[in-house]
Amino acid sequence: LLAGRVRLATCSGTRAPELALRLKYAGIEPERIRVVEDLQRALSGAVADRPEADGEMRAPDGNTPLYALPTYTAMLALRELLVRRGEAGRSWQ
Amino acid sequence: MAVEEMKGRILRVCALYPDLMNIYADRGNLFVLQRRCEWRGIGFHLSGSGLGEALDGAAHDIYYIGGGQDRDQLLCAEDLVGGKRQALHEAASRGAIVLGVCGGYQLLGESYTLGNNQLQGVGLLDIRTVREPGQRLIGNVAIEVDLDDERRVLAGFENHGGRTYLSPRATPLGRVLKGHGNDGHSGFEGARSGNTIGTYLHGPLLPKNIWFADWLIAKALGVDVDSLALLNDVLEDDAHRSARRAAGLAAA
Repeated sequence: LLAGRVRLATCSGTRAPELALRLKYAGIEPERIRVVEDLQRALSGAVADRPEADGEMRAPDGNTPLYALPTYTAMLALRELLVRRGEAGRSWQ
Repeated sequence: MAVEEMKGRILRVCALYPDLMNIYADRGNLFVLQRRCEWRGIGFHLSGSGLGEALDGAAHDIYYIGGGQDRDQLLCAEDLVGGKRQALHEAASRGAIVLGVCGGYQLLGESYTLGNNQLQGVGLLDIRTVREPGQRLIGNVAIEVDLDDERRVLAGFENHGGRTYLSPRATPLGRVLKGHGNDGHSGFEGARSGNTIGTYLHGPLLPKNIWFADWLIAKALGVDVDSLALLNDVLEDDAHRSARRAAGLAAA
């Protein structure tokens, strides 16, 4: 499903190398897969390296949207980082 | 055999009970075989054989059976012994690969005893498995194997309630470097008889041990592993290192 549509996939967390491998076997070119085990560095790198949007999918800053697919446990940590970046509210609403 | 001559070859794989015996990333193991054949221009044909379905002992190069839940494993054991035992013996005797992972490994043996119940197995491996009281054997594991006189490491994860005992005539797949292995104290893991191989390693087995995936492909096609085209295995090697690290083993 993702093959041919992903510009850059960043894999993070304790199982990052395994996830990277899974994406490769799902058909994503290895050149488009990046492994950054530290979550904070993974997030800032993934945000910074989004290319300019050229299709209808566009983030508010004009760049390609970044999709995060965390496990529940990683989601809690990821959300804390987003709050600190000012990109998510404190509440769950 | 030169790399070019591999073109036109087809690896034929049969997954046994692909819908029931598939809880330990077993589909991922098959996917690895498929992709690595495709990337090399080797044909790949996957078929399945489920409950009540026929199994052709002459039609495939690799027969794969994964792990399942107790209830499903019981169903599969009856079906295996009742309808597929002969075909698997035929396959093994002509040198096809028969690979069992976790529950599939147990079913390739002589028997599996669960309380007062004794399930008969396929009988390709001279092993007996007993579900004993006590904790399941769970954790990261690394074993050292000698295949074709070359010493290599398989790393993965084990999670089994059954303890598997090898008869004195049986050959283990490898020696435990880290983890529990067959029964928690023998120091051995898995079993091998010719090209029939059983192991508790999953999590999953082949993506984390890509050399073993290639060994299986080469063996199944009857070629030397050096004749397979080299692939870029940077991510595969990282995953192997990660699995070794998880098991507490120093880097290669």
